[in-house]
Amino acid sequence: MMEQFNRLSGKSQQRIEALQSRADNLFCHQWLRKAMFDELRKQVVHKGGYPHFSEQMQEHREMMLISEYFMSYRSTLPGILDEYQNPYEDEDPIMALVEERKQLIDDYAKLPLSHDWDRIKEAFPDSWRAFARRLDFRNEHTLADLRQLLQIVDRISLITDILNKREGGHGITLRCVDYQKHMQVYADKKMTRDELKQLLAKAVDACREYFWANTSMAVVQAICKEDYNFGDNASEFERFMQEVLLELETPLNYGCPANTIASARQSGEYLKHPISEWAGYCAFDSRPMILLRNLRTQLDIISTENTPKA
Amino acid sequence: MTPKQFLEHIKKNVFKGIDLKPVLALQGDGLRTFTLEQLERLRSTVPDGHYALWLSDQFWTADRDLTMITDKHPWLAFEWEMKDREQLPELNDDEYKIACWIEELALLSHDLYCHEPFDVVQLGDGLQGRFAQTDLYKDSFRYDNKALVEWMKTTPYRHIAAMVCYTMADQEIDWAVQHNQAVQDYYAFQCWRNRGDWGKLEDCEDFIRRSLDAMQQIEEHYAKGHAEGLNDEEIRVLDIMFGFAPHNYCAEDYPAVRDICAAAQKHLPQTPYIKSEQGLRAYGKAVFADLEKIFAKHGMTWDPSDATDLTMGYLDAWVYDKYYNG
Repeated sequence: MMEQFNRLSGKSQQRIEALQSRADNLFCHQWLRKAMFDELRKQVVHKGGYPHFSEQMQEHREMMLISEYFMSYRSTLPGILDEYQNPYEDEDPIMALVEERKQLIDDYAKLPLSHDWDRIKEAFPDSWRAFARRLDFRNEHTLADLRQLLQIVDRISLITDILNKREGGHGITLRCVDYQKHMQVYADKKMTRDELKQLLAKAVDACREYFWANTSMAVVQAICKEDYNFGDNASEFERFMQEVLLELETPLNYGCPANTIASARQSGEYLKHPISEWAGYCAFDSRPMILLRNLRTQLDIISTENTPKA
Repeated sequence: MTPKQFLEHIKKNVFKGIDLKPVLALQGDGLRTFTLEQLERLRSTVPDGHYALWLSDQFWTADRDLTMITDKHPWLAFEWEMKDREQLPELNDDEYKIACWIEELALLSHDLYCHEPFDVVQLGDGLQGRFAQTDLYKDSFRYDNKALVEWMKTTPYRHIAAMVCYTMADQEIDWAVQHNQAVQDYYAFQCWRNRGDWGKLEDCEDFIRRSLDAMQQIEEHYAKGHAEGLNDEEIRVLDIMFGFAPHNYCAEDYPAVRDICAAAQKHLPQTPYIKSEQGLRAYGKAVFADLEKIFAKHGMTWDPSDATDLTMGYLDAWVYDKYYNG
């Protein structure tokens, strides 16, 4: 994930985070369906049937949008039912749905049309008409782009409905606990120093080939500080890291004696900046970036394995 | 390690079974071809082609600024300079010549890995450097340098081409960071995702194709805008209003764009002015008050607190830029 977004503007990253955290509200379109259906009823029968030529489509953009929207509505339901209807006993379909939705929202945010789609809001009842007006069907890619957008929106909306147990006739009968409470289980669990030590020891062990000198411990310190709220004190980290390294069955070739972090910071300009800015100071293939990526991946994997199911 | 041991160390690890006599016999284009062949070979050896990186690691750290990997280096006097002939008496004439060539190869490898622009003459095929006023080599790595783009498409050295392409995309995104955040995000999504393993040919080709395509799209985007009578700032504001680039051009949007540009220009203090944070805040407030009216006039939604709306975010960046850079 880090490599995917490390050149995005700060605003774009904030947008993705905002979409993720507000997904439950953003992907609820009952008002939109009603507005479009009302419009459809007014039109009754569209003269000439579904337009096939781009000039016709361009002339009837609002009808195009309404038709495409209703064609996509619930079209992704069979796929979701197949995947999630009958989970195995030890599977956690709620977390799987949450993870899938997270990935889908990341994909959604990449689509250019998604930004215009976000502007469709209940507070502005005609905002869907503005979206339709900005489509240009004379561009050969527009119809395909629109369909791709509507597919992904449909899947995200369905998953959101399921997670929030909204009435929608989706027919999914999952044995589910309250999804928000379920997420709370993961959020409330704060890590003790000892737990972090164990986690880090395993991750360092799995990444031992990516360490190149004592100074590579500075990368570990940056991760501890930003991802695990460790605190900025270099000597405290050095003492902690020495304990972590003692946990390893096979010792690492490198250590973290006193003054390691300070001397690393002297030679590495990137260490004076937050991790999100490192791409501006280090090449993608440089040792700090390779170690950073691998360590973060291992930490993710190990902590997911360790987390108890609700 | 002594200079001689260093030479043997390098030959053993990356030139095993390779005859280096061509280095002594060839010059000009012939030598360039040999150099590129060797670099391509090192870069394409799986897994992940790290022999080329290993070679540059023998000389310099992974930082973009050249920093010698050890304080006293067997061959380097300082930074990128080889020691003079007299300073390496342990090597004979031929060995010294080969050592100089190895250092140049390692330097090219280092520049490619660090995405640092370099003299494109080294890529052969008659390429010449383009020198802008401020920086020696950066200007050669812009997309409008069609000679280099053509080289990337046609050269047989595909792994090197992928790294050159990255350096070009890097320069283009640096431009976009300064001048148009919508374009920056477009490049970020197109080029900087799922890079794959550049030891593999198909991943290199995929990266080259997608990056050149993205840069072409933006070039056409600006060309279309200019054909519509818009200048660069108006194109940027149009991209802000859409929240992404490239996009279809609709003449209906131009009046709003022109109103917005006029508002931003109107509130700028009289030049010369002393730039300060308070000044920026006052300027921003005045411009945003006007923008609210303009958006309402043209039937656009306005919600500065909506973090999902990129328009608001990009407007912030543009107003900041306008105040500080005019």
